Amino acid sequence: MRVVLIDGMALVYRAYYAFGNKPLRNSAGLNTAAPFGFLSTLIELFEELKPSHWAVAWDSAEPTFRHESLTSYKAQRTPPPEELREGLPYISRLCEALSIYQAEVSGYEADDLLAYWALQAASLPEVERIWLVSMDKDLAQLVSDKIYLYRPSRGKNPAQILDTEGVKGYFGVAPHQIPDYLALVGDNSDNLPGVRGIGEATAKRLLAEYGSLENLYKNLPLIEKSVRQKLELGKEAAFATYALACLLPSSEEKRRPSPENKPFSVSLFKVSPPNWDKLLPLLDELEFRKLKERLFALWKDFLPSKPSVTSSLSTTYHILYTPDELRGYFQTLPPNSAIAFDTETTDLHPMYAELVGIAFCAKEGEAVFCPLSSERWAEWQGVLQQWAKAPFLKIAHNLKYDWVVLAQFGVVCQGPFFDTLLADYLLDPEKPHGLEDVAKRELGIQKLHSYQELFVGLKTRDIRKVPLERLAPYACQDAELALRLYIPLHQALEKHGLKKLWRLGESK
Amino acid sequence: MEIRGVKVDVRYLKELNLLYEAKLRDLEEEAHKLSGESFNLNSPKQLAEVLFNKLGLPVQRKTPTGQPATDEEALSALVDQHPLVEVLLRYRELYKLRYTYVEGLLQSVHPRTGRVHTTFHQAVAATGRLSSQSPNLQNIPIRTEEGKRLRKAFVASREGWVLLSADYSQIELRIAAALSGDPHMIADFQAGRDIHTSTAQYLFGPVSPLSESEKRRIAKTVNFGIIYGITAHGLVQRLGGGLSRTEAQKLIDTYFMRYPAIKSYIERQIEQVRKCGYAETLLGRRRYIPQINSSNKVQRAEAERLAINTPIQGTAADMIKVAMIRLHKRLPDIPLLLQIHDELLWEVPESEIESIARIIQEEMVEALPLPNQVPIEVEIKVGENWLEMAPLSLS
Repeated sequence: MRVVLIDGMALVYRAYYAFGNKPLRNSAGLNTAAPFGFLSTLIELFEELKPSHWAVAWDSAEPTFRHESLTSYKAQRTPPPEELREGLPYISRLCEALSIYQAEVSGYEADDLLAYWALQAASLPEVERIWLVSMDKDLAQLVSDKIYLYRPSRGKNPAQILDTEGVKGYFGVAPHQIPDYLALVGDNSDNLPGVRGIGEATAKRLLAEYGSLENLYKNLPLIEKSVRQKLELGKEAAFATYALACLLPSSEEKRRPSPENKPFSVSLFKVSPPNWDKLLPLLDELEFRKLKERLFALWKDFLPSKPSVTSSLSTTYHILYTPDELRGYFQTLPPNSAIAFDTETTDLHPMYAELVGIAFCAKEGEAVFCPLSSERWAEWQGVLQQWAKAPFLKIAHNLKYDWVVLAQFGVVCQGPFFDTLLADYLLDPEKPHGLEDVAKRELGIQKLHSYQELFVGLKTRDIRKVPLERLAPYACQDAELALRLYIPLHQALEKHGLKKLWRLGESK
Repeated sequence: MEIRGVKVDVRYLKELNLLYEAKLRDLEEEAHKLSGESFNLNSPKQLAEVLFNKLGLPVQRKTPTGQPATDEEALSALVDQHPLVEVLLRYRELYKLRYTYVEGLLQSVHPRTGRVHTTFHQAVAATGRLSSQSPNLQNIPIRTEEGKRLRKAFVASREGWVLLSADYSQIELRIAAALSGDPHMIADFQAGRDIHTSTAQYLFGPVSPLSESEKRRIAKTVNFGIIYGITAHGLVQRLGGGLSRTEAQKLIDTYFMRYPAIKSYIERQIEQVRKCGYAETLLGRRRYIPQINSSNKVQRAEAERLAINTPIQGTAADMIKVAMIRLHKRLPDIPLLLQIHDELLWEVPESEIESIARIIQEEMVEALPLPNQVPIEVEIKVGENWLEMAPLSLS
């Protein structure tokens, strides 16, 4: 078993301040920096450490036994900013939705909970490794051969994992000596006094020689005068600090009843798949799209049964090589029916574009593609002109473009028209209007063939050189998507009372 | 419109190009003389070196990369300190004009048609307005002398044909008056008064040290500012000239005393958007503004400005679009060349100017009647090119 134990608030603060003056916000204006960073770190932990069990410990709002014994404990700390607090319920809901065990015990700090859990877990033979995730040094005292300290990556600095040797290297003393060390040196972040006048170097030296605070004071007469005097003056402060710095003050306390008042059971921490019903709406509200994708990747074997990830579409396509075939195709269609079309050209500017091909789709699932060449252009033009004049409802995405291109080549389309891009624009001007985006949004369909795919393996970006087997499905898919969008978009326009505007103002 | 394109006088543009090139060289020489150094005027780094190190001018601001700022804002603050600064500003203006506009236009001329074909994007602006690209013909400068010369390049393409421009005068203010129902503003428009002069009269008492044109200019800024949801701070920025924020605020307050319905319209509109989440134009075009309920003050203020401005700008956009369609149907042989903001540009045969102008005016005025009987006015101008146009009055 691999157990990861997390100091909640440490991560929250880190995440919140990571964005500096430009916090991340969702469109409701909520500061989502803390939830974002927190979730990011959770994902990082999951990927790196591959836990089988995990849990998060939170500080309690009420004063702890430490506050009671020393009124100045952590006195210099300011309360968390309001925007940070606003993010907290989201974080705890995220943990819940991810099925991560969380606990907060009145009267205890998160560190104590973590310490209890860590030691209990360490005593179980089936537990191989425990990681304590925190930026704090207080937890370093727990490091042992099974318990490691994990400090998450910060900006460019990668994550640090500290084992016993690591602690010695980083702090200069062994893990079990950390409370003694703090007792001498003091701790600014927790506002613990330590011994006045004893600094890091001295403390390290003393502890290296005498091993512990207690032993040090037993051997006080052996110490040189200047240091001894300071130690004598600061004795009360030293022991008080020691008591507070210790996460588990005495060996008897190791058998202290659980802060949670229930027997310890590591199975509570077991990692299990997320509760998607709770998680997905939360991610949407917070607007965490990329994180959503990463979560899907992590849990790919446990995806929600109805994926909000969209289904793909594949169309049967036929290539019509001669104008006669195209004429035949048009003849099979009822005169007023809707036909979606899509031109494939060499240039984004319609006045400079050359026609390479055109796709038509009159029925869902089926479309045709005509590669247009200059040799038989006169014949093609004839068929197309007939189509252009016919009363078919002509549908396209960004119809204006195709219209201008065709007009350049002597094919002047006549209405009625329906431009799916314009329709989407009227429904909400500020959403992206690309065919791919609209299809995903309105139909839940993900375009299979992308423009870049056309050129894979080719040394050119000249669309005329793209093999027909690639170009045809690509164009056909575009035509079909436009056809499929017609009805839902049309209905949406009706529903929102935009029909009048459409008719009067936009269809030209 | 796109496929027709608009004709530009290429020879004229080429001449202009050479002219600008010469001017730029002159300016460059002058700059070198004034600074005593031959440096590259286009390099911000070298420029900063000369201005701040060599000449010892005070640094206004720093760019994100830590360099002292040499943009227009920074430079205009230094204008009085050294003649070099003025030279630089003019250089920059000409440079932009030349490369972005003159060169840009020359390059956009289509080889086959000999005309400039711009692409109008119908689905980009959130307010419903059209945007123009490659080239962007909607921001050809009109205010500066040099900018005006550019407009001269746009000409009619056939013998005996001229350009006709029709502009909706103060359409946004009229829409604001109509939507708010403000009796004073409506009365001003109905009586055919110049709205800015009218506003000026009420903003400044009879006793005022300012000239008439000054007063009008300020009133105009306030008028347009209100539509965009301006604050006292914004007004100070736009007017400059030592106006204090309290004075600006006083102007705004006086404005609302004269046009109280506008104030209540603004409040109602913001409330409306808060409730339903979007702003609507007269024809029902929507724009969703979710940030109106944001807890972030800055975002919320921005959203409120959008809430006020979108229906106004959007209705103007609606109106022009309807007019364009109606005129397309009614005058199929008269090519519409361009749409720029509230103006439409056609090419018309000279012999038929009057009758065509009448039709255009009629259709534009009737395209989208405004509530509260606010009259819509269309100003028609005719000319050989886009710069030299004379107003056409129709009896």
